[in-house]
Amino acid sequence: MRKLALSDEILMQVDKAARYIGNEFNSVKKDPSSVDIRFAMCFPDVYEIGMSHLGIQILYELFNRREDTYCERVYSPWPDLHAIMKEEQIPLFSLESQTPIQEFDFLGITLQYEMCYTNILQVLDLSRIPLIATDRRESDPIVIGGGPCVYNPEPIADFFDLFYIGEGETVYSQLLDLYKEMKASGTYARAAFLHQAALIPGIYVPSLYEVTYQEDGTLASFTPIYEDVPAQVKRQVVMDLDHSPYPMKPVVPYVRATQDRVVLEIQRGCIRGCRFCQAGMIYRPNREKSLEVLEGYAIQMLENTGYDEISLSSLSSSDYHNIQGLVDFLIEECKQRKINISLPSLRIDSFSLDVMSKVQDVNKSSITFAPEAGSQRMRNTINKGLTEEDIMNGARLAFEGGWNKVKFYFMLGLPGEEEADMREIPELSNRVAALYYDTVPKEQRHGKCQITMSTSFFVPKPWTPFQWARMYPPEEYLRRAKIVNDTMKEQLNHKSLSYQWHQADVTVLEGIFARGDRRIAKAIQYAYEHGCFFDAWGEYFHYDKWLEAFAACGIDPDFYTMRERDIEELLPWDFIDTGIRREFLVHEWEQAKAAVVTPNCKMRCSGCGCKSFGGGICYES
Amino acid sequence: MKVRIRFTKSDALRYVGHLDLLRFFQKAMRRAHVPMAFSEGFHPHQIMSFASPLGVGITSQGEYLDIEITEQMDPSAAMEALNAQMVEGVTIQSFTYLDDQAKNSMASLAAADYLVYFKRGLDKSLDYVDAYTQFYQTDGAIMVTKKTKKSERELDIRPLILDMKVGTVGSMQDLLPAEYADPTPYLPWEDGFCLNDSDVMFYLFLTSGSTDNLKPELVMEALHQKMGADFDAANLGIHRLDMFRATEAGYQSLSKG
Repeated sequence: MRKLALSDEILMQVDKAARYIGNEFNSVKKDPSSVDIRFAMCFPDVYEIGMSHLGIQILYELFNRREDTYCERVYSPWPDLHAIMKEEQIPLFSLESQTPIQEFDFLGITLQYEMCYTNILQVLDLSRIPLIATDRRESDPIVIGGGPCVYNPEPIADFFDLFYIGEGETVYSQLLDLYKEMKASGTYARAAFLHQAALIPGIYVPSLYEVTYQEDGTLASFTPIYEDVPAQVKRQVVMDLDHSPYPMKPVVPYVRATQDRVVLEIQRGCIRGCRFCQAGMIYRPNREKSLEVLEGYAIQMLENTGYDEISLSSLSSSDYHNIQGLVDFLIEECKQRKINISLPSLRIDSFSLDVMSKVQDVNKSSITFAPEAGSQRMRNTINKGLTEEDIMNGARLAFEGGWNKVKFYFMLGLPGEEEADMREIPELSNRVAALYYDTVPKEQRHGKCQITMSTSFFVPKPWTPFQWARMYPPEEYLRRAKIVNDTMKEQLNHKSLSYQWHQADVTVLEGIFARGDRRIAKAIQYAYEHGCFFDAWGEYFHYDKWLEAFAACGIDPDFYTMRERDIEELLPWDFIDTGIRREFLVHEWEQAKAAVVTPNCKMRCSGCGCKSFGGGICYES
Repeated sequence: MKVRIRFTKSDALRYVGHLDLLRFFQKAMRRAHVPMAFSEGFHPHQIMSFASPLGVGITSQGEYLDIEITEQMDPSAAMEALNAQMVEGVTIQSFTYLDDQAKNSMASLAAADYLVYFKRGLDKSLDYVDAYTQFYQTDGAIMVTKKTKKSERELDIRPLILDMKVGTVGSMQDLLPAEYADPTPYLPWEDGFCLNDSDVMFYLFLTSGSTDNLKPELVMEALHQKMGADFDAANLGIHRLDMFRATEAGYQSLSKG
């Protein structure tokens, strides 16, 4: 019988004890004493969120394919268990072998969103690993960061020994081989290993770079402290997705995860070039898997997990070259197996509506549009290639197909947004509601139509054309939400409309983290040490504590959020070579200000620079 | 075709709640290619029901799950296929066809039996053997307050206790009916419990199911009340042995159809 790290007494006290027991179906079992490398893979949020993440499953597969490596999982203990572990001094442990994290060679932490930053410190703290990388002892694990937040790792640079910049499938084996060789030959020492690791393309060791600042607080220089360490760290990209590792036997949790289904990644990257979207930039060029490979994956994964649902993963499923063939295959296969299909990120048109009517209960489900902005001018600014005509046509088809619920996603606080643009959000929704009453005869209606508008507040992200844009104080975001809400009430069809908006103070904090520099780390540590964690969970988010943290650390949050940056400014993330040309981003920023649309990658190459990776739709044509 | 599956639940799996266990079995059925029958409607689901949900933390060597399948399967091949899809802590013990008219295990459940012990030691000053005699081997009523979601009511649980025995951990087998398998492999010995051979252990045979459902916790609470001793429900270890239906010939294990 496996010995659990937590006692029966504790497991009987905490909520959802099954989060902490491991032993899930398809979890990998190895004898820890038979491997050279023990890797703890962490998602710094609660189990149900972490288990829903595809990237970790890919790396879990990739690492465990190596006979010399045992990769295990670890997630953030929920606050109830956190308190017990602190009180009783129980070290954080891996799920598979229930071993203290401190005994591992590596602790890899995936960084999917900025609001998990305090949870990184929770994981380190409970693992008894010094929070600051330079304080770590020889015996401590090497702490690695990966995932989309590494495209500006600076606010958390102090907490990591190294960052892996790019896609995991590429240079991890080189890094693990280096570690194993140095250990075997007796040449391993923490500092020597980190120096050698920094020479591997895509590996960024923050302690090997020195940062200086101008008097106005902006960056003056960012330079490696050794001559052989590269000044620019190149993003690593896998070009052949058909032949790269994919988790055919994903771990199946007991507790219902957020993503409780087979996830089929159909492509990476996106051809659309929306100017607010970081994923659409940093995953360039767009790369697809072949239909045959996906068909094989779908069947094997359903067989190996027993899930009753399959979902596609991509930034824009409609752009997959053979979405029709893929969907036809899935419908046929899933009908026989009584498997549900969920199809996110499909553009609303006659094809997708036809598919959805086959796989969903039309009366219960809703149609989702993400126009992101209410006015055409703003949609052009953000380069969302969607016209009001597209929205109206989609909505009409949906209404004719029997749907009467529509969800709209918008952003507020976009660069150049004026009051008329805000008012357009409910006005557009009102026109869609009116279309319902014009389209569907009274006798065929299932009650009134329901249009739900949801707005998030825009956060400018590094590596997008909006990386230079300013943000606004929380009050200003709320004022804009109020304009939308008030305008909604003036609409003729206001009874068919509803509106929800996000928390404004979280947005501001996210903005600070997204474009912050190394000096932010102090405030993150201060906030954690004063009780902040699980900031992504509304009930645990305390804006006042954060303001106190910035004040205590002598940091002016407005420096990071309230000013438009000069295009000449040295940005904290400029040391990364993502393959995206600065000139392209500057040009797109100018086009945004002029509200001019740039054609998508399928129509014309806009010279972003990622063609240099030797793939993508632009390269092939 | 109706099938009854008997299984065990132990080790770390005892922390997996009932709904999660249900979802675990739904997936296992698909992986094992059991030709499950489905309900009608827009969201068809597998026809599957459990005799009685097992509380989190409780171990068992006699759980029951009824399913409906559309094609005949050889029982031993089905058991083998299902066991290949289990995890440490769940084992399929039997796969038995039921009559088409048979009531499902949930509907026919009438009683269950348990071993009850104290996880983290016990108060040595308490004489459980004497308490047991006064509690159970008298004719008097045993009045308890049963709390439901809506109300509290006074209830005599004496008629609901079909059998009760007291013994020790070391001679646990003496507490059990003759043909029972050794519970030792399913009990969580290694979890830091301080169980000594001389520690007291109870056997309880209680009515169960939708009408007269009596939980072992309530019996033990009543016993402690009778002794005038403190009762710590969190210290109570419970192991379910088997479940029964009522027949004219008396209580019969659900494993016998």
